[in-house]
Amino acid sequence: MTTGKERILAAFGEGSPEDIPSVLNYADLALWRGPHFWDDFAEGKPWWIKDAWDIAKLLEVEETMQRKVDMDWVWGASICPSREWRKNHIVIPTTRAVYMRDITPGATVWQYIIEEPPPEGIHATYPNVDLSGVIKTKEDVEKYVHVQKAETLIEEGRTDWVEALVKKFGNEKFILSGIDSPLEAACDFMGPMPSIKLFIKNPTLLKQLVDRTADAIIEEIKAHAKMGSDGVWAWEWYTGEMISPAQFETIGKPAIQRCIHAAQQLGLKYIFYPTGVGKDWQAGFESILDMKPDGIHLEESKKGFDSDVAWQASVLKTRRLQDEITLFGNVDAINVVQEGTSEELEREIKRQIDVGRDEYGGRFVMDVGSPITPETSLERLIEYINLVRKHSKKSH
Amino acid sequence: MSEEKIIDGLRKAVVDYDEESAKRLANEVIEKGIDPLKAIQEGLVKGINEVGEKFGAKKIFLSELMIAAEACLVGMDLLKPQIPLAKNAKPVGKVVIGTVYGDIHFIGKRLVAMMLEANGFDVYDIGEDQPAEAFVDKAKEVGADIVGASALTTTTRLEQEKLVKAFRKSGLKAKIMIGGAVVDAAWAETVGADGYAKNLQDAVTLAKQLMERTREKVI
Repeated sequence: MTTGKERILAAFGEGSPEDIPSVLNYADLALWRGPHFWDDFAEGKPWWIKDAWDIAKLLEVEETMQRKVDMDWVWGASICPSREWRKNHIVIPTTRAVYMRDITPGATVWQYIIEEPPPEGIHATYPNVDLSGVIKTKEDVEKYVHVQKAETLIEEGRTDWVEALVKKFGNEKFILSGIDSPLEAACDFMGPMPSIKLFIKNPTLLKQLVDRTADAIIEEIKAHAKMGSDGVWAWEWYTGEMISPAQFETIGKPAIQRCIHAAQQLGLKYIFYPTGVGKDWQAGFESILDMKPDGIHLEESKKGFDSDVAWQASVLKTRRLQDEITLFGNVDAINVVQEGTSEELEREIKRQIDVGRDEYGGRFVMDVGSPITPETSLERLIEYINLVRKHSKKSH
Repeated sequence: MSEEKIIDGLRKAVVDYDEESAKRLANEVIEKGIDPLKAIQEGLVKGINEVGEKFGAKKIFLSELMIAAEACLVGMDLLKPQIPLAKNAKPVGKVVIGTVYGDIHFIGKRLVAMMLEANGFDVYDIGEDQPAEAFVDKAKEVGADIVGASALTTTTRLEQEKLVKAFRKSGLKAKIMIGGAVVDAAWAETVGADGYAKNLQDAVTLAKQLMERTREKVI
């Protein structure tokens, strides 16, 4: 009997268990906070334990989720607030509202309301601080974009959540840490509109920013590795129709490449999730493949782009990358997982596994293209996992 | 510089993503007493439509499109107040636009807003992560003809359904159009929206059609 971790490592070319692994990306985003998923997994725990970063209770939720939806990885081993922050922030539930009280001596805002997440789940938070009026030169970049050393992150307890997940699940499951991608992170510092302008108006400054955010991300990668993560997941949204392949090549690629090398040198698998990438952006896709991430995961085909897994496999095969890059499945989260019949779900899973196993050669992980929707039932997720298991034997 | 050259210069400024030239030439239109409506329609709008077509044909990317739209709006902001009241007594229509609750994506929504504005609509962008009530309140406040709601993630499109319900309940007559990567015409029908726009050009066409439907009802 192989473990989930062994199955995923085998998909990355380490060992040779029989089964294609089965995972769901963004499990924390879609599963923990969906209207029924929280009830399914939290077993009566209040919603604010995530805001308070109560690691012991969060581990119990994760454990229940893993027991009910037996994925091969643990998704979302992210950097958390520092130990000091967690000590100084207390949740006060009252009949009128739920408050977060900051008991740090001298805190300017000592209490604020925290709100129950919307039924459709939490959205990704990102800094989106508009420093476009402040950051004008390379010196400004160095002044305002801080690079925190891996040792500091660990000392401050910001890797405690990663460490807890590794201790609890690390023997059985592949621990996947979430990190930023340098281009996306750099743009967040400048605000959405100014950052997009920078691609054309001041690519030199943007590149300096990207290089700096890459420095910070590399420190995070080091911290994740030190804690015992197995891999990192990097989402990049300045891809696809957002920017031209040439802009990606000159501005994003060198920094992303550095992050990939850093992860690989530390023994972490680097899974790259660029959004909006399909046949129409093939030059950019090829540019991504040049960087040799350990895993490539594209969203499912949506309006405007076609990213079918068979097309991906053919591009990778043409470039003879079957033994270097692991392909991820991208079953349509809405049209198939949520709304498809059981037959349609099974047919699509089987088709993608056939592509990954038979056409691509086996370095394949079965996943959905985007986060699971709130309208999807727990039973449907279990059905998805079971169907992957049913069709996942490498030899058949 | 001749009137013809100035107007074509405005078109070119948009196509070349040149905000400075758009500003300079718009000021020249004002100084020389050139018809501002003509300058908008035959210069700026012509330019942004050219850029929109290139984007639709995947010859350029969002970063370029957004900068072109910004150049267009810089010119518009200067020229619109100069249009004599008789010629521009009313906008083509009033649109309240936003991204639904729980969703922070802004680019598609922003671009649609820009394109609608460039095509003569008065656009009220309420931003991202907006609950249904915020759309209703703004529509009520400005007397919106159309409400546009964008959802880009698999986890937030349900909010579009809530939005439609909130509008039906409010009794407001505004038409609702939806868009975003995870929705389609079938979803628009499911949630009871009045229309779905696949891309920027579609959004402008749909908004104009919805306005016609509104007028037909009135007649």
